[in-house]
Amino acid sequence: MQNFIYEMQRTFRSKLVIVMMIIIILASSLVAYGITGPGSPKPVIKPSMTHAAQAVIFNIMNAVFLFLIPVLAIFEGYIIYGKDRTNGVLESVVTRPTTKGQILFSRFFACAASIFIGLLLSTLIIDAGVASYYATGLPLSMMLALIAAYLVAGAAFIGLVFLLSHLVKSQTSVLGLAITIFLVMVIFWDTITFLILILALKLSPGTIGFGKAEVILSFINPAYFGSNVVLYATDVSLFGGFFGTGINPAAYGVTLTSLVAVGIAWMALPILSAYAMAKKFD
Amino acid sequence: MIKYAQRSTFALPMIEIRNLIKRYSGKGPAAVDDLTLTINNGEIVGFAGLNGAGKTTTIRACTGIIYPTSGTILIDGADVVSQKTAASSSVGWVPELPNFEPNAKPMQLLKYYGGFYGMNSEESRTRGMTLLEATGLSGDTNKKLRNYSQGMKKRFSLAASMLNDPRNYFFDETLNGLDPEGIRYVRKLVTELKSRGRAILLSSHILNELETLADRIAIIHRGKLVEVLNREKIDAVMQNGGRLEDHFFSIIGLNV
Repeated sequence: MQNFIYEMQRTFRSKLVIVMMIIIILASSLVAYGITGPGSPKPVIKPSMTHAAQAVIFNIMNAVFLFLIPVLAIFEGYIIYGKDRTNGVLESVVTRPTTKGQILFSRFFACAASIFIGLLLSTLIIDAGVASYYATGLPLSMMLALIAAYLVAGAAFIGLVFLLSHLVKSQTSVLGLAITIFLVMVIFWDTITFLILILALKLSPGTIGFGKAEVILSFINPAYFGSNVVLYATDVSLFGGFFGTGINPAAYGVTLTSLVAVGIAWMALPILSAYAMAKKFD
Repeated sequence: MIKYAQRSTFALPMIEIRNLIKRYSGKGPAAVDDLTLTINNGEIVGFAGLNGAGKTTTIRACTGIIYPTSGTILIDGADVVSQKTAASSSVGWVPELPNFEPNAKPMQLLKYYGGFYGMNSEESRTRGMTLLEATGLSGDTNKKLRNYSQGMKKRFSLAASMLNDPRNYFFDETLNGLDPEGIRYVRKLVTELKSRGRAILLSSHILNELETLADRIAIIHRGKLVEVLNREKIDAVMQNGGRLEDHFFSIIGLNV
């Protein structure tokens, strides 16, 4: 256990992990600046925070984290574990008084912790920006929900890269597949799901069936897990024509139970699969 | 964490490989097939075989890099699979092709490795400096490992393997890639480790080296241990101008 903590502390203190946290915080500072900076109107009397305003801010944060967290998690997972695993550097560590499981999980938790701290600090920065503009800051429950959602996304992508490094042999393959996952799950996901729903499932945009299917597809993609959390937390659909109108998330299958179950699954399954691969095929 | 100075609490310090089988896939023959071998304290066992015979696979299983398909490997009485941390606390490993974090400097890595043995930064630095001097690298401590030649990496690997002064060593084709000075150093080192009671498995396909250094020579072919020659047998083979190489080829059934 002491060697597990030793390895986790060392990973957490690595330059890359610190840089990752700084990037998340800088990006969120830009968001806060965008909300409250010179570009935005400065009322004499601070406006009160409305439900719709909260939803807009959470959607802005969601859009930033949706791109930022997967790309940082993938990069971190690759540098901290995937690269070492595939180029053989990890072997000189494995022969020390530690186990593969300790190395895998300690590095995973260190990466996840850096994502968590980055999210926590960036959310606080955005909250401070919002508080300087509005009479009050963001609701604590919503901030915690967003942090938890993107911690799930970050942990899932870190775990996926760890898993990839046990499935393929070369650094190039790990990096190539990780970039492919990013393109499919983040950049082109909206287009892919839209085409699936319209062409394959023959669903019409704006219908309850379309919304339900979109939620289900968001559950199978960790990058979009945050969108479902925001939907649940704000009671406002993120999807197309529904934006800004109050809806019941449960009607779309977004309940606390489904969110917790899917969240735990995304945090645990990729990294446990990576561990199982290491045990079975090494 | 195991303090390096307090190493082993096990009563039988040695390497025991029992019925080791390693299969990389369900199809095809096993890379190592039912191999049983014991290396006692103060003994150098040469491990000879052609390329692909199973020498490196055996050593990788013994050091915990790969898992055995079946069989047991005990290091100082600790099972490499179920008691990995205890087993690895008394193992030194020098791979055929050392591979280290390319952007690290040697002392950084030695300090990192030292942490696994409960050594603090100062202890690791002092011990590391002694080992880097012994391996002829004290003048290259400011270079990153990516700028080291293969021979220098092997010297560094030797230093890293001795960091915690382990009781058991696995040298995998260690003489390959070393210059004559390095080869002489390894010969002296292995003899010195033997005199201090260390158990050493020395893999090589250079039979001349093994016949002078080893107390016993284990010959592996296509994953199977085909013969273990003790010192008397080695001497008998070499009597009247005989060559170990000829004996080796006759044992594995190759007419070269």
